[in-house]
Amino acid sequence: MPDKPSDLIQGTLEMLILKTLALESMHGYGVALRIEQISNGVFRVNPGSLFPALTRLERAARIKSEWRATENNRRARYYLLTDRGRKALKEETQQWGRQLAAITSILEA
Amino acid sequence: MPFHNLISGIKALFHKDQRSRDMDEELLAFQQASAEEKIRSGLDPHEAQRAARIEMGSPETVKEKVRSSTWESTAQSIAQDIRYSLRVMAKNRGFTAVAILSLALGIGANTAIFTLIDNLILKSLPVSHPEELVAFGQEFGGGMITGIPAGPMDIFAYDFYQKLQQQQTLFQGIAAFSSFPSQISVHSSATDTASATQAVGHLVSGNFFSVLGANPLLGRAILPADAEAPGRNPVAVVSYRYWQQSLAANPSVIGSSIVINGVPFTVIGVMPANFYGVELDAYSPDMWLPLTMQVEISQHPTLLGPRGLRWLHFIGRTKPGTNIAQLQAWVTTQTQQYLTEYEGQRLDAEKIQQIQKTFVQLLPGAAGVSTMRLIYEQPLHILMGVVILVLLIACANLANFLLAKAASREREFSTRLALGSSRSRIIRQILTETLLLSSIGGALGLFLAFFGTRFLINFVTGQAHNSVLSATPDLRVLAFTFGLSILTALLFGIAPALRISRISVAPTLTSNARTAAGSGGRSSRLFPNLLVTIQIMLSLMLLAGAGLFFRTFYNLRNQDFGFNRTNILVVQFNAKFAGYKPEQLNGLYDRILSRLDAIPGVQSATISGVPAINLGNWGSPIDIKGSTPAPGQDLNTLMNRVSMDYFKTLNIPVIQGRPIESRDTANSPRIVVVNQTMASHFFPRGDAIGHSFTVGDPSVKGEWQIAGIVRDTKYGSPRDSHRPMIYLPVAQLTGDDSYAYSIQLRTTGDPAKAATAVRSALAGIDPNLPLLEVKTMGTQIESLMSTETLISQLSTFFSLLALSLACIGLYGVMTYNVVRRTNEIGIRIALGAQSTGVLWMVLKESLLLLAIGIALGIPATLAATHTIQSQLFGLSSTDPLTLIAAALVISLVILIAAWFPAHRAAKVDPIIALRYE
Repeated sequence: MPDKPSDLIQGTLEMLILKTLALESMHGYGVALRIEQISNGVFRVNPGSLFPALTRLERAARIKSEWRATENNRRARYYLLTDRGRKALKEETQQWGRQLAAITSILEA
Repeated sequence: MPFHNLISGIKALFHKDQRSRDMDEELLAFQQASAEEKIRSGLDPHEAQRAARIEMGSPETVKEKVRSSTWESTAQSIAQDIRYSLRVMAKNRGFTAVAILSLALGIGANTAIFTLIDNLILKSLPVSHPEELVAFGQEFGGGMITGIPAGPMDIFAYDFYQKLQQQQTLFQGIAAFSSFPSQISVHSSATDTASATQAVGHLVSGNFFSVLGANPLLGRAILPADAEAPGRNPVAVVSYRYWQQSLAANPSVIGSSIVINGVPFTVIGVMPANFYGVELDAYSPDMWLPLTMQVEISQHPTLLGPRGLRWLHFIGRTKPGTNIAQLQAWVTTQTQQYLTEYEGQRLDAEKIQQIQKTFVQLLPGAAGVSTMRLIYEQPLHILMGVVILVLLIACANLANFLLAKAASREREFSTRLALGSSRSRIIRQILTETLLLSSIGGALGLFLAFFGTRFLINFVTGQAHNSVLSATPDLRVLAFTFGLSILTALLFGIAPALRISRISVAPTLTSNARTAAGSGGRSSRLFPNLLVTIQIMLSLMLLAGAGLFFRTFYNLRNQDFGFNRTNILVVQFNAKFAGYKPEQLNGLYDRILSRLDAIPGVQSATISGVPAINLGNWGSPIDIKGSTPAPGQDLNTLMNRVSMDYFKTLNIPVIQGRPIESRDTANSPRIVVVNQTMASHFFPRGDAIGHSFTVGDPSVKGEWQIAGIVRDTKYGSPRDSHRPMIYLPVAQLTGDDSYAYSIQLRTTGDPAKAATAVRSALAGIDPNLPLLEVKTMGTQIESLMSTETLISQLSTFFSLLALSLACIGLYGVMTYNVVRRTNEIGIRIALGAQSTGVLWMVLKESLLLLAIGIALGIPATLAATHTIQSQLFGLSSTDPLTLIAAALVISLVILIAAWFPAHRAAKVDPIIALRYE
């Protein structure tokens, strides 16, 4: 079944969350949906991995959260990127790029 | 862990419910948003809700995952483990009490001994960069000596110090200080008392404080300018304690005058509270005075002249990064040059050889010098070994108890494993329990150790009030105790933890499993039996060691000292302090003796330089008239100066010739009495009487004719073998040598009862005559055997403690075995086994362990006691009697401990046993 959603590579979920939040602040489902949409359904994030990752990021002060009203006028917890998170995203993106280039060159050799 | 994480973790702990509600709300919002999204993409509302629920799974699982991703969840589960362990401990009160008590005793004993080791050996001097300091030699003891050491040299002359000051460039500085303290008599206007008080003064060179890098609290320290010429600078730096106790802690004391030995001195400084000088000994100095004031302070003819006696210790400060070997070679060369110049014309081939053998060792000086350390270092290490063994035995005990408990909890653990608990979680819980036990034991041990250390310090310093040793644990001691507690917990927790990690889920849960596991295959009993065997082995080592030390103490104490020690009172006095001149002394001695002889109950009295047995004595080489010494012959003799009746008072038999008599006065021909060893050493043909000799010590002038030979006596340490000794009549000595400091009386009854009469008799002669100490000869001898007393008493105490622990251990293991085998024993009895047969079956097991333990213990004991041979007296470390006695005591105790469980097994009622769970 080629269409089955893949598991995320270890440790990349946090980077993807940071990237998602860099565009705009959003609530938990928003993050999951955005990742799924952008990856064309390849990555599907379930709550069991999403929320622990969000907690870890918040503990590391890379994101912060606040309760806000949604477009449907419901209360939801919105996550925002902090300065530290922005910096971490930049570093991790660069590192990811380097790793990817290295892996690609090995695979193409 | 970043600060932010820590804070939000703590917040989460305190707002647990709020957190949980928030999470619920957030998960619900997630689910609704997900459902709405699905409806938007075309699913019917019912289907969408269902799909969203499936996607979420159990909200509780998600919450649990979030929780366990944080550090506070680990902390919480540890807290849970601690709570659970406390409950388990509270349920088994008996076990918990025994465990904590034996750990407290074991850890406490280790901490107490370690505190003393820390105080005596590990602590550095309270000065800057103590690691740069080097001591010149062992610096053991002190005195005034002459001659060529032909070996390690650690006492030096004043002119050698001056020579080094002019030449040394390799050191930052070399300081000198007197190798002995000076008892001084101080009169101060600040104390408001008319009479003088006694204090301890220490003579130090002008650069002493700068070389040490010690700064005064008030005023200034002694400077090189204060020690340039003899007698010129009467200044004193006082210790903090002396300032507090005798100078009313008055800051204006700086610049004021105190009278020391009749000479006014100016107080120039007060040292900080933690400064005790360079010598860590029972008595620390009350004040430091310039070396150049030696005549005034020690009231001894000058030691500052060229080619004088050797009486100083040195301590040097090295330059950073210098090579010690190079410094040592330089100092040795300087010393050899000095000795060559010193001998001058007297130099011959033999002396040159002796000088070449002389060297100076530079030793780490960071911890200062300490006679007390040299005396107690080895005993303390032995005691440390003893208390470690005790702790090991305690650990083996606890490991055994916990193993037994773990075995009886196997079903509980299997159940927990079956319900999904992880093995690591169960092991963590066991280790939490052991850590909890050992930390409570450790805390209690620290408390016990404080009192134990106080006792030890009192013992070591002889209750000297100005001791610099402290029972209060410092950081190093606290770290030691903490580390020891953790290590202990691991040591006794590892066996049960290992055992649990091997439990399999299935078989133990079936109801009849207990019979198989319960009666315990041999393999499951192997480990407990091994531990008991080790305990028996270690107990044998401890008991045999204690036996050897006890017998050493007994041998030393009950040996023949050569004089009769019963009913002797020893009085230390000092006529010098009272201002007597040497010419007045013979009259004073006559008055004292006739007054004392008249006291009822006093049989006879005598005056001498030092008591019949005493540490630190007078000695000198002698030169026999009309004979040339053989090359390499040892010409040294020990000396004492005594009045008539000395031999009568101490019951020392005269072998040949006559004792000192009333006719031997200052004006009659000089005579001397020698001991047997002296007579046979110098006159192997037995013709000592009538020969004359001169004494090397320049202050003892003239020729002395041997008038009598007396029996050999112990003179220095009770361990010493007999050495040549001469007794000079004190009446015939001159100058400083005519001062005698000791009165000995033979009484008809208890000598201590005569003390009051003696005090008042002496006060009747001269109320200003200071009596420094009044004690019985028994006390005097005890004080010379303090290390032996310490080792023998403590090792006996600890070995009995160890033995009782081992006994409790064996009793516990055997009782437990019997309880577990109740079922099997019941079947045996039901099938016709006799109760004696059952008794024997159980007893046999204990006896086998005992036999193996002793068989392994004997070689281990011999190996261990071999290392303490040098501490023993009058017996060998392989003494069979001690070893057999130790083995018998252990066998007896173990048999008693094994009897009860065996007896219990024989009494098992088969009906009850078969129904037994």
